[in-house]
Amino acid sequence: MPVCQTKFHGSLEYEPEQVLQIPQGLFGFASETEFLLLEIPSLRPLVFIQSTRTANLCFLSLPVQVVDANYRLALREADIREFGYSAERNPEIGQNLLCLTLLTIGQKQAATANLQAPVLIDIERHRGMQAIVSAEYSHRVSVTPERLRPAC
Amino acid sequence: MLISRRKEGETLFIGEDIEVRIVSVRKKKVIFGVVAPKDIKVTAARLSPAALANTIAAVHSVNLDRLLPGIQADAEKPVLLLRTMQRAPETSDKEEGI
Repeated sequence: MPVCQTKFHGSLEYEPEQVLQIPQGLFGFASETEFLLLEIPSLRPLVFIQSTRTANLCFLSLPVQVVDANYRLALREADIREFGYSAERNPEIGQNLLCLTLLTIGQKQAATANLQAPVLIDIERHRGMQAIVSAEYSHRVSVTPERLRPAC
Repeated sequence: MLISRRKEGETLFIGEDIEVRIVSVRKKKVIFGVVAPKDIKVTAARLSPAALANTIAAVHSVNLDRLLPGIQADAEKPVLLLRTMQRAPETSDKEEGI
């Protein structure tokens, strides 16, 4: 079983089938194409996007709906095709499509979420893509810690 | 960020094998050369805004405990979100016995 060195959780065994393939990489990280999606049960809904290749590369993310319940996934047609969908079969956030927003945690300022360039994950195909949405979303939307706490 | 004063002809090292040479300084333009091993990609382009946002997000993920004070990300075993898909049992043409 392959072992992944992670940024936050030490070394972790995984099955090759559990790898998320992002063939185009993420913006600025074109050579990083394989990731593991990790969750710490007590930290839900936080999702760690850990590179299998670079231990020190791990993004923190949230399902986009946690930050904006009315988020509209406005993808460009070229991105839709690139992701293996079509006009007839539009990608919609739901059971088979996870839409994560990457978090930036400042030293002093509040954390922000990038709603402009979400990471789409096709749960069935284990394939991901980062796209810039055509709607007017900011890449720095404030996220308060309350958003991160599961509703009690 | 390291801010350093250099004169024409002087150099700056990043690590042991990346050298930045200040070739000339003219009014508001600096001409510099980069000497780096072949496997390091040197591009003159600025990062796109999306790439910059990702880079900052990646670097700042170390501040996780600022987001959720008191958490210990390594105290609990992480769960892999993409579960192993069930593989169809392999079919075999060979019959057992006889």
